[in-house]
Amino acid sequence: MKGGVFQSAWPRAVIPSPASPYTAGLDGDHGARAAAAAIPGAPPDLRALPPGCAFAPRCAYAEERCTSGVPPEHRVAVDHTTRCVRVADGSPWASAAP
Amino acid sequence: MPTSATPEPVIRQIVEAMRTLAGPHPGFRPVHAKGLVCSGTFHASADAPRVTRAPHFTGQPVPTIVRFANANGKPDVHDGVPNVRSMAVKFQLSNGKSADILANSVEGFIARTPEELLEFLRAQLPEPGSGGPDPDAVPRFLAGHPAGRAFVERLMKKPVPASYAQTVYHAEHAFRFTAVDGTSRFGRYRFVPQAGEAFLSPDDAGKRSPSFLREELEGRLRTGSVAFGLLLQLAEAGDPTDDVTALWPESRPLVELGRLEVTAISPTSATDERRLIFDPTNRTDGIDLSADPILLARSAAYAISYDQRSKGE
Repeated sequence: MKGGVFQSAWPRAVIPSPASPYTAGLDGDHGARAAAAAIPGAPPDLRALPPGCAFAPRCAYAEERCTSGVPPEHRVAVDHTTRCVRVADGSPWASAAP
Repeated sequence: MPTSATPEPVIRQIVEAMRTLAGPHPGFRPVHAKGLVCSGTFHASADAPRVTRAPHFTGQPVPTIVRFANANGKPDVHDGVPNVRSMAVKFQLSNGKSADILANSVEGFIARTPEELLEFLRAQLPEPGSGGPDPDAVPRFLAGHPAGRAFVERLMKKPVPASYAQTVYHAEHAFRFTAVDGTSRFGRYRFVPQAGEAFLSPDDAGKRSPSFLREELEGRLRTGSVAFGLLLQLAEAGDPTDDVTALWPESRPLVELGRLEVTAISPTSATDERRLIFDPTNRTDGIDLSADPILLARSAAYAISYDQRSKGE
Protein backbone atom coordinates (compact mmCIF):
# COMPACT_ATOMS: atom_id res chain seq x y z
CA MET A 1 0.00 0.00 0.00
CA LYS A 2 2.98 2.27 -0.41
CA GLY A 3 1.68 5.78 -0.86
CA GLY A 4 -1.84 4.48 -1.50
CA VAL A 5 -5.17 5.01 0.17
CA PHE A 6 -6.54 1.86 1.79
CA GLN A 7 -10.01 3.15 2.58
CA SER A 8 -11.53 6.50 1.83
CA ALA A 9 -14.67 7.52 3.66
CA TRP A 10 -15.74 10.06 6.19
CA PRO A 11 -15.11 8.99 9.77
CA ARG A 12 -18.79 8.40 10.45
CA ALA A 13 -18.83 5.75 7.76
CA VAL A 14 -16.29 3.51 9.42
CA ILE A 15 -16.70 4.35 13.10
CA PRO A 16 -19.96 3.61 14.92
CA SER A 17 -21.96 6.76 15.44
CA PRO A 18 -24.63 7.47 18.04
CA ALA A 19 -26.46 9.64 15.55
CA SER A 20 -30.13 9.11 14.84
CA PRO A 21 -30.99 7.44 11.53
CA TYR A 22 -32.07 10.83 10.21
CA THR A 23 -28.78 12.48 11.14
CA ALA A 24 -26.91 9.49 9.77
CA GLY A 25 -28.72 9.88 6.45
CA LEU A 26 -27.98 13.59 6.40
CA ASP A 27 -24.27 13.09 6.87
CA GLY A 28 -23.99 10.20 4.46
CA ASP A 29 -23.51 7.51 7.12
CA HIS A 30 -23.51 4.03 5.67
CA GLY A 31 -25.43 2.63 8.59
CA ALA A 32 -22.29 1.10 10.12
CA ARG A 33 -23.40 0.30 13.61
CA ALA A 34 -21.20 -2.67 14.55
CA ALA A 35 -18.63 -2.08 17.26
CA ALA A 36 -15.24 -1.13 15.84
CA ALA A 37 -12.63 -3.79 16.59
CA ALA A 38 -9.00 -2.88 17.26
CA ILE A 39 -6.41 -4.32 14.89
CA PRO A 40 -3.91 -6.37 16.94
CA GLY A 41 -0.17 -5.92 16.74
CA ALA A 42 2.04 -2.93 16.09
CA PRO A 43 1.73 -0.62 13.09
CA PRO A 44 4.21 -1.38 10.32
CA ASP A 45 7.46 0.50 9.88
CA LEU A 46 6.50 3.22 7.40
CA ARG A 47 10.06 3.09 5.98
CA ALA A 48 9.64 -0.56 5.04
CA LEU A 49 6.00 -1.32 4.39
CA PRO A 50 5.07 -4.92 3.59
CA PRO A 51 4.12 -5.73 0.00
CA GLY A 52 0.45 -5.48 -0.89
CA CYS A 53 -1.98 -4.37 1.78
CA ALA A 54 -0.17 -2.80 4.74
CA PHE A 55 -2.79 -4.20 7.11
CA ALA A 56 -2.35 -7.80 5.89
CA PRO A 57 0.25 -8.97 8.48
CA ARG A 58 -2.15 -8.03 11.29
CA CYS A 59 -5.45 -8.91 9.58
CA ALA A 60 -7.30 -12.05 10.66
CA TYR A 61 -8.86 -12.31 7.20
CA ALA A 62 -5.74 -11.81 5.07
CA GLU A 63 -5.23 -14.08 2.07
CA GLU A 64 -2.38 -14.62 -0.35
CA ARG A 65 -3.77 -12.06 -2.77
CA CYS A 66 -3.58 -9.39 -0.06
CA THR A 67 0.22 -9.59 -0.06
CA SER A 68 0.86 -10.34 -3.72
CA GLY A 69 0.26 -6.77 -4.87
CA VAL A 70 -1.65 -3.61 -4.10
CA PRO A 71 -5.36 -4.48 -4.34
CA PRO A 72 -7.34 -2.32 -6.75
CA GLU A 73 -9.66 0.34 -5.44
CA HIS A 74 -13.28 -0.74 -4.98
CA ARG A 75 -16.14 1.72 -4.61
CA VAL A 76 -18.57 0.85 -1.84
CA ALA A 77 -20.73 3.96 -2.17
CA VAL A 78 -20.56 7.44 -3.64
CA ASP A 79 -18.49 8.63 -0.68
CA HIS A 80 -16.68 5.43 0.28
CA THR A 81 -13.89 3.49 -1.44
CA THR A 82 -11.75 0.63 -0.18
CA ARG A 83 -8.91 -1.60 -1.34
CA CYS A 84 -9.92 -4.52 0.88
CA VAL A 85 -10.40 -7.51 -1.39
CA ARG A 86 -12.94 -9.04 0.99
CA VAL A 87 -15.22 -6.04 0.61
CA ALA A 88 -14.74 -6.09 -3.15
CA ASP A 89 -15.86 -9.73 -3.08
CA GLY A 90 -19.02 -8.71 -1.31
CA SER A 91 -17.83 -10.46 1.85
CA PRO A 92 -18.53 -8.14 4.76
CA TRP A 93 -16.08 -8.49 7.60
CA ALA A 94 -18.90 -9.18 10.01
CA SER A 95 -19.86 -12.41 8.29
CA ALA A 96 -16.42 -13.64 7.26
CA ALA A 97 -14.89 -16.46 9.30
CA PRO A 98 -11.50 -15.59 10.82
CA MET B 1 -33.83 19.86 13.51
CA PRO B 2 -35.41 23.35 13.37
CA THR B 3 -38.67 23.97 15.19
CA SER B 4 -41.58 24.48 12.86
CA ALA B 5 -44.69 26.40 13.85
CA THR B 6 -46.66 24.18 11.49
CA PRO B 7 -48.75 21.62 13.39
CA GLU B 8 -47.28 18.15 13.06
CA PRO B 9 -50.55 16.68 11.69
CA VAL B 10 -50.37 19.14 8.77
CA ILE B 11 -46.85 17.98 7.94
CA ARG B 12 -47.93 14.33 8.12
CA GLN B 13 -50.89 15.06 5.85
CA ILE B 14 -48.58 16.70 3.29
CA VAL B 15 -46.36 13.61 3.18
CA GLU B 16 -49.42 11.36 2.99
CA ALA B 17 -50.94 13.38 0.13
CA MET B 18 -47.64 13.19 -1.76
CA ARG B 19 -47.52 9.41 -1.23
CA THR B 20 -51.09 9.02 -2.45
CA LEU B 21 -50.36 11.03 -5.59
CA ALA B 22 -47.19 9.06 -6.32
CA GLY B 23 -48.76 5.65 -5.77
CA PRO B 24 -47.05 2.79 -3.91
CA HIS B 25 -43.30 2.77 -4.50
CA PRO B 26 -41.72 1.23 -1.39
CA GLY B 27 -38.34 2.64 -0.48
CA PHE B 28 -38.61 5.69 -2.73
CA ARG B 29 -39.17 9.34 -1.93
CA PRO B 30 -42.80 10.45 -2.45
CA VAL B 31 -41.52 13.33 -4.61
CA HIS B 32 -38.27 13.68 -6.57
CA ALA B 33 -38.32 9.88 -6.75
CA LYS B 34 -36.30 9.32 -9.94
CA GLY B 35 -32.80 10.43 -9.11
CA LEU B 36 -29.21 10.09 -10.07
CA VAL B 37 -26.38 10.37 -7.54
CA CYS B 38 -23.07 11.82 -8.67
CA SER B 39 -19.81 12.83 -7.07
CA GLY B 40 -18.09 16.15 -7.51
CA THR B 41 -15.87 18.81 -6.02
CA PHE B 42 -16.63 22.35 -4.96
CA HIS B 43 -14.05 25.12 -5.19
CA ALA B 44 -14.90 28.29 -3.25
CA SER B 45 -14.17 31.65 -4.83
CA ALA B 46 -12.00 34.36 -3.29
CA ASP B 47 -15.16 36.46 -2.78
CA ALA B 48 -17.07 33.82 -0.80
CA PRO B 49 -15.58 34.57 2.67
CA ARG B 50 -16.80 38.14 2.30
CA VAL B 51 -20.33 36.74 2.40
CA THR B 52 -20.11 33.76 4.74
CA ARG B 53 -17.66 32.20 7.15
CA ALA B 54 -19.16 28.72 6.53
CA PRO B 55 -16.18 26.36 6.19
CA HIS B 56 -17.03 25.06 2.74
CA PHE B 57 -16.84 28.63 1.43
CA THR B 58 -13.54 29.57 2.98
CA GLY B 59 -11.10 26.71 2.58
CA GLN B 60 -9.85 23.88 0.47
CA PRO B 61 -11.79 22.10 -2.31
CA VAL B 62 -14.71 20.22 -0.76
CA PRO B 63 -15.90 16.79 -1.90
CA THR B 64 -19.60 16.83 -2.71
CA ILE B 65 -22.43 14.44 -3.42
CA VAL B 66 -24.87 15.68 -6.04
CA ARG B 67 -28.32 14.25 -6.74
CA PHE B 68 -30.26 15.23 -9.84
CA ALA B 69 -33.93 14.29 -9.88
CA ASN B 70 -37.35 14.71 -11.42
CA ALA B 71 -39.85 16.20 -8.96
CA ASN B 72 -42.41 13.58 -9.98
CA GLY B 73 -43.19 10.96 -7.34
CA LYS B 74 -42.96 8.01 -9.71
CA PRO B 75 -39.48 6.44 -9.88
CA ASP B 76 -40.11 5.17 -13.42
CA VAL B 77 -41.45 8.44 -14.84
CA HIS B 78 -40.42 9.24 -18.43
CA ASP B 79 -37.73 11.93 -18.45
CA GLY B 80 -39.74 13.84 -21.05
CA VAL B 81 -42.66 14.56 -18.73
CA PRO B 82 -42.79 18.31 -17.97
CA ASN B 83 -42.00 19.01 -14.36
CA VAL B 84 -39.51 20.62 -12.03
CA ARG B 85 -36.01 19.10 -12.05
CA SER B 86 -33.84 19.35 -9.00
CA MET B 87 -30.24 19.39 -7.97
CA ALA B 88 -29.32 18.63 -4.37
CA VAL B 89 -25.75 19.11 -3.23
CA LYS B 90 -24.19 17.76 -0.06
CA PHE B 91 -20.88 19.36 0.91
CA GLN B 92 -18.83 16.84 2.90
CA LEU B 93 -17.00 18.87 5.52
CA SER B 94 -13.69 17.88 7.05
CA ASN B 95 -15.23 17.61 10.54
CA GLY B 96 -17.46 14.73 9.46
CA LYS B 97 -20.54 16.92 9.16
CA SER B 98 -22.24 18.04 6.01
CA ALA B 99 -24.12 21.02 4.61
CA ASP B 100 -26.79 20.84 1.92
CA ILE B 101 -28.20 23.02 -0.82
CA LEU B 102 -31.44 22.00 -2.55
CA ALA B 103 -32.33 23.77 -5.77
CA ASN B 104 -34.97 23.50 -8.50
CA SER B 105 -35.12 24.26 -12.19
CA VAL B 106 -38.01 26.66 -11.57
CA GLU B 107 -37.56 29.68 -9.34
CA GLY B 108 -39.78 30.09 -6.28
CA PHE B 109 -42.41 27.63 -5.07
CA ILE B 110 -46.05 26.76 -5.53
CA ALA B 111 -47.17 27.67 -2.01
CA ARG B 112 -46.19 30.11 0.71
CA THR B 113 -47.13 28.00 3.71
CA PRO B 114 -47.41 24.28 4.49
CA GLU B 115 -51.18 24.73 4.78
CA GLU B 116 -51.31 26.18 1.26
CA LEU B 117 -49.14 23.34 -0.04
CA LEU B 118 -51.52 20.81 1.50
CA GLU B 119 -54.43 22.59 -0.18
CA PHE B 120 -52.65 22.36 -3.55
CA LEU B 121 -51.84 18.67 -3.10
CA ARG B 122 -55.38 17.84 -2.04
CA ALA B 123 -56.72 19.58 -5.14
CA GLN B 124 -55.01 16.85 -7.16
CA LEU B 125 -56.27 13.90 -5.11
CA PRO B 126 -59.11 11.70 -6.32
CA GLU B 127 -62.47 12.69 -4.95
CA PRO B 128 -64.22 10.08 -2.83
CA GLY B 129 -66.54 8.09 -5.03
CA SER B 130 -65.54 9.55 -8.40
CA GLY B 131 -62.16 7.85 -8.73
CA GLY B 132 -60.55 10.99 -10.13
CA PRO B 133 -59.68 14.50 -9.03
CA ASP B 134 -62.06 17.39 -9.51
CA PRO B 135 -60.87 18.91 -12.83
CA ASP B 136 -61.63 22.38 -11.54
CA ALA B 137 -59.81 22.03 -8.24
CA VAL B 138 -56.28 22.93 -9.38
CA PRO B 139 -57.44 25.88 -11.57
CA ARG B 140 -59.47 27.07 -8.58
CA PHE B 141 -56.40 26.88 -6.33
CA LEU B 142 -54.27 28.76 -8.85
CA ALA B 143 -56.93 31.42 -9.32
CA GLY B 144 -56.87 32.05 -5.59
CA HIS B 145 -53.08 32.00 -5.32
CA PRO B 146 -51.49 34.30 -7.92
CA ALA B 147 -47.96 33.51 -6.76
CA GLY B 148 -48.66 29.81 -7.25
CA ARG B 149 -50.05 30.52 -10.72
CA ALA B 150 -46.92 32.48 -11.57
CA PHE B 151 -44.81 29.49 -10.50
CA VAL B 152 -46.74 27.19 -12.86
CA GLU B 153 -46.33 29.72 -15.68
CA ARG B 154 -42.57 29.77 -15.11
CA LEU B 155 -42.54 25.98 -15.20
CA MET B 156 -44.35 25.92 -18.53
CA LYS B 157 -41.64 28.14 -20.03
CA LYS B 158 -39.01 25.57 -19.03
CA PRO B 159 -40.96 22.32 -19.15
CA VAL B 160 -38.16 19.85 -19.86
CA PRO B 161 -34.42 20.58 -19.70
CA ALA B 162 -32.39 19.07 -22.53
CA SER B 163 -29.83 18.00 -19.95
CA TYR B 164 -29.39 17.96 -16.22
CA ALA B 165 -26.33 20.05 -17.04
CA GLN B 166 -28.30 22.70 -18.92
CA THR B 167 -30.71 24.38 -16.59
CA VAL B 168 -30.25 26.92 -13.82
CA TYR B 169 -31.18 25.51 -10.43
CA HIS B 170 -32.65 28.00 -7.94
CA ALA B 171 -32.60 27.35 -4.21
CA GLU B 172 -35.92 28.87 -3.32
CA HIS B 173 -35.42 29.64 0.37
CA ALA B 174 -33.55 32.63 1.76
CA PHE B 175 -30.82 32.16 4.36
CA ARG B 176 -28.92 34.66 6.44
CA PHE B 177 -25.21 34.57 5.68
CA THR B 178 -22.64 35.88 8.15
CA ALA B 179 -19.23 36.80 6.80
CA VAL B 180 -15.81 36.40 8.37
CA ASP B 181 -16.01 40.07 9.46
CA GLY B 182 -19.34 39.45 11.25
CA THR B 183 -21.62 41.27 8.81
CA SER B 184 -24.84 39.50 7.81
CA ARG B 185 -27.07 39.55 4.73
CA PHE B 186 -29.87 37.43 3.37
CA GLY B 187 -29.33 35.60 0.12
CA ARG B 188 -30.63 32.89 -2.18
CA TYR B 189 -28.38 30.38 -3.95
CA ARG B 190 -28.54 29.46 -7.59
CA PHE B 191 -26.45 27.03 -9.65
CA VAL B 192 -25.75 28.34 -13.15
CA PRO B 193 -24.60 25.78 -15.73
CA GLN B 194 -21.38 26.44 -17.60
CA ALA B 195 -22.96 24.76 -20.65
CA GLY B 196 -25.80 27.29 -20.75
CA GLU B 197 -29.52 26.55 -20.64
CA ALA B 198 -31.42 24.40 -23.15
CA PHE B 199 -34.99 23.14 -23.02
CA LEU B 200 -37.13 20.75 -25.04
CA SER B 201 -40.79 20.95 -25.92
CA PRO B 202 -42.86 18.24 -24.24
CA ASP B 203 -43.49 16.73 -27.71
CA ASP B 204 -39.80 16.45 -28.55
CA ALA B 205 -38.88 15.28 -25.07
CA GLY B 206 -41.58 12.59 -25.14
CA LYS B 207 -39.99 11.01 -28.21
CA ARG B 208 -36.68 10.49 -26.46
CA SER B 209 -35.64 7.49 -24.39
CA PRO B 210 -37.43 7.19 -21.02
CA SER B 211 -34.16 7.90 -19.18
CA PHE B 212 -32.57 10.25 -21.71
CA LEU B 213 -31.46 12.68 -19.02
CA ARG B 214 -29.35 9.99 -17.37
CA GLU B 215 -27.96 8.79 -20.71
CA GLU B 216 -27.15 12.34 -21.77
CA LEU B 217 -25.29 13.00 -18.54
CA GLU B 218 -23.38 9.71 -18.84
CA GLY B 219 -22.22 10.74 -22.30
CA ARG B 220 -21.24 14.22 -21.13
CA LEU B 221 -19.22 12.88 -18.19
CA ARG B 222 -17.29 10.48 -20.43
CA THR B 223 -15.51 13.46 -21.92
CA GLY B 224 -15.10 15.67 -18.86
CA SER B 225 -16.72 17.17 -15.81
CA VAL B 226 -19.95 19.18 -15.75
CA ALA B 227 -19.53 22.57 -14.12
CA PHE B 228 -21.91 24.95 -12.39
CA GLY B 229 -21.19 28.35 -10.90
CA LEU B 230 -22.71 28.75 -7.45
CA LEU B 231 -24.06 32.26 -7.15
CA LEU B 232 -25.75 34.04 -4.27
CA GLN B 233 -28.44 36.58 -4.96
CA LEU B 234 -28.24 39.20 -2.21
CA ALA B 235 -31.40 40.71 -0.76
CA GLU B 236 -31.89 44.42 -0.38
CA ALA B 237 -33.72 46.02 2.55
CA GLY B 238 -37.41 45.25 2.26
CA ASP B 239 -37.06 42.10 0.13
CA PRO B 240 -39.19 39.36 1.69
CA THR B 241 -37.07 36.62 3.24
CA ASP B 242 -39.89 34.54 4.69
CA ASP B 243 -41.98 34.09 1.54
CA VAL B 244 -40.75 31.35 -0.78
CA THR B 245 -43.16 32.44 -3.52
CA ALA B 246 -41.88 36.03 -3.65
CA LEU B 247 -38.99 36.43 -6.09
CA TRP B 248 -36.50 39.24 -5.66
CA PRO B 249 -35.82 41.57 -8.57
CA GLU B 250 -33.23 40.29 -11.04
CA SER B 251 -31.36 43.54 -10.51
CA ARG B 252 -30.22 42.33 -7.08
CA PRO B 253 -26.46 41.76 -6.92
CA LEU B 254 -25.08 38.27 -7.47
CA VAL B 255 -21.91 37.09 -5.74
CA GLU B 256 -20.07 34.07 -7.07
CA LEU B 257 -19.45 31.72 -4.15
CA GLY B 258 -17.57 29.15 -6.18
CA ARG B 259 -17.61 26.48 -8.81
CA LEU B 260 -19.04 22.98 -8.57
CA GLU B 261 -17.61 20.29 -10.84
CA VAL B 262 -19.69 17.15 -11.16
CA THR B 263 -17.22 14.45 -12.13
CA ALA B 264 -18.97 11.06 -12.21
CA ILE B 265 -22.23 9.22 -11.76
CA SER B 266 -21.95 6.99 -8.73
CA PRO B 267 -21.89 3.30 -9.69
CA THR B 268 -23.85 2.76 -6.49
CA SER B 269 -26.37 5.51 -7.23
CA ALA B 270 -29.48 3.42 -6.56
CA THR B 271 -28.36 2.39 -3.09
CA ASP B 272 -26.78 5.77 -2.32
CA GLU B 273 -30.01 7.65 -2.87
CA ARG B 274 -31.94 5.38 -0.54
CA ARG B 275 -29.72 6.11 2.45
CA LEU B 276 -29.05 9.78 1.75
CA ILE B 277 -31.13 12.71 2.95
CA PHE B 278 -30.76 16.18 1.50
CA ASP B 279 -32.27 18.81 3.79
CA PRO B 280 -31.96 22.56 3.14
CA THR B 281 -31.87 23.23 6.88
CA ASN B 282 -28.70 21.13 7.18
CA ARG B 283 -26.12 23.88 7.33
CA THR B 284 -23.14 25.15 9.33
CA ASP B 285 -22.02 28.17 11.28
CA GLY B 286 -22.16 31.22 9.02
CA ILE B 287 -25.53 30.24 7.52
CA ASP B 288 -28.80 30.76 9.42
CA LEU B 289 -32.40 29.94 8.62
CA SER B 290 -34.95 32.53 7.62
CA ALA B 291 -38.46 32.54 9.09
CA ASP B 292 -39.88 30.95 5.92
CA PRO B 293 -42.58 28.51 7.13
CA ILE B 294 -42.06 26.10 4.22
CA LEU B 295 -38.33 25.92 4.98
CA LEU B 296 -38.96 25.34 8.67
CA ALA B 297 -41.40 22.52 7.97
CA ARG B 298 -39.08 20.61 5.64
CA SER B 299 -36.98 18.78 8.22
CA ALA B 300 -40.03 17.32 9.94
CA ALA B 301 -41.52 16.26 6.61
CA TYR B 302 -38.25 14.69 5.45
CA ALA B 303 -37.89 12.83 8.75
CA ILE B 304 -41.35 11.30 8.32
CA SER B 305 -40.61 10.43 4.71
CA TYR B 306 -37.16 8.97 5.54
CA ASP B 307 -38.62 6.85 8.30
CA GLN B 308 -41.19 5.45 5.88
CA ARG B 309 -38.85 4.80 2.98
CA SER B 310 -36.15 3.29 5.17
CA LYS B 311 -38.76 0.79 6.39
CA GLY B 312 -39.61 -0.05 2.81
CA GLU B 313 -43.05 1.55 3.06
